[in-house]
Amino acid sequence: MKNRIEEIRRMRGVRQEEFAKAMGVSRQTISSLETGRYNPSIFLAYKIARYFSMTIEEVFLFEESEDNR
Amino acid sequence: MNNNRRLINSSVEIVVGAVLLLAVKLTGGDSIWLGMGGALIVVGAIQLFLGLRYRADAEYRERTDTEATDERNQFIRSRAWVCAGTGFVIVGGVMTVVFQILGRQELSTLCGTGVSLLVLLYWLSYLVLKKKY
Repeated sequence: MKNRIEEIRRMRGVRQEEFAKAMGVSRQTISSLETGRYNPSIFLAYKIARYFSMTIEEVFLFEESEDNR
Repeated sequence: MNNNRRLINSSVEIVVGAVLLLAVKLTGGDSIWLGMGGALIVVGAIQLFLGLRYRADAEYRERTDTEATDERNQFIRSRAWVCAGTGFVIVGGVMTVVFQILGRQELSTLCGTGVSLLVLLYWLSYLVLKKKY
């Protein structure tokens, strides 16, 4: 699933380490999320969206044809 | 695991390892106990070192806690178990046939039983988890 995490994070001037700490995950997880190698759970997706004060749909771009993980 | 429990467990491992080494030394027992005692001491010492570091180093503690609860890490661990299980079944299945061809009946049976046991455990786990979720 594509997402706009990196774009939004950079726009807000938040470092990966800082963002990871706020989400309670490792920096590698943030990196994997941003490159699309890993899809988050609904809980983490919700947490990320809430951190940016956005909706999940605004951060994560669902495409019908995509396989799950 | 709770860090205090880890410290206690590692201390017990070291003591048991030392007792095993001492027992072998005094009785001249089997060398397998010597190896087991040595291994217990090494594992216990490493666990003890990590436990003490966890207690003293706040940065290490935070990193360890994050790694333990990190959902991607949990996902990777689950996938690694899946790969290990699949690999075991494939290798075990192949070895069962190979040992059968080579006429090593006991080893073939052992491999076949191992694979069957794993498949049985998989199905039992599946049935339990199916009820849970």
